[in-house]
Amino acid sequence: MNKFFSKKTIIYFGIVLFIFLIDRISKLYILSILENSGSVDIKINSFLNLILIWNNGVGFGLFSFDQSEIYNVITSIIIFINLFIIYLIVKSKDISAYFFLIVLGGSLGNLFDRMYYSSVPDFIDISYKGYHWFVFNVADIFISLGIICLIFAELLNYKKKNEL
Amino acid sequence: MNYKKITLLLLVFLFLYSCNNAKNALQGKKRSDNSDEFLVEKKNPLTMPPDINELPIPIDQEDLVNKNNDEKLEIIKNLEIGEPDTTNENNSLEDSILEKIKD
Repeated sequence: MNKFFSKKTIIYFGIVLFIFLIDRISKLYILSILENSGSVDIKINSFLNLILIWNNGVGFGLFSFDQSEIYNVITSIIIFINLFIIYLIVKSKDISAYFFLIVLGGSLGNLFDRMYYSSVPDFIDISYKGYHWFVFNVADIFISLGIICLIFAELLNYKKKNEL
Repeated sequence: MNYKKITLLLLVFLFLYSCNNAKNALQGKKRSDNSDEFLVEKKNPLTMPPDINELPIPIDQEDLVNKNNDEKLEIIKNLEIGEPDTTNENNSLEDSILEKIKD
């Protein structure tokens, strides 16, 4: 019982909750704009726009079908991945646990939308000279950050092992 | 290098990441491939007719039925009176032709 409510567990939970809440607040803000003005198409500057688009597939708009069966299968896979990440967090003893926590926080934010709205709202559009990157959300930023850090950690670990 | 682990991380990233093509947002994604919004003719918005205040005052349904029946009867009477009796004329014409043939 004491182990479950240890300082480390509370910090872990706090990190996940913090990322989840930042993502939720940003999405609620965008949805409130949608409710008030009927659409979300805000140009902040020449690089950054806010355009709301709903994604019912996975990353990069893949597996975006109308069939609910495929959607349910994808959601089940994502739930399984989240459980696996929790397992990895518990098992990890180095800094990679924090990177997994960042990924988990973002992932739970998207999973909540998948279950509540049956689709994930994406709204951050970055463009340069007419070229648009994929529209993403705040949770995606954290997932990307966590995955990049995990890949770097893996590469650094490999380098360290080779040096020894 | 642990390629297996990195590949797994990228696969996880693909499933957890939820971005969409900007093209869909800018061009307006169709709800279904079968739908074609350009086939739908745009209708004018509903407006009040200009002579809305000049509409006739409604009358009782019973009076309306009686009035209709009276009108029908009048039309039938007119038809009966107005219809010329052509049977005699035809007969006389036929007779005269027959007489001429006989002669």
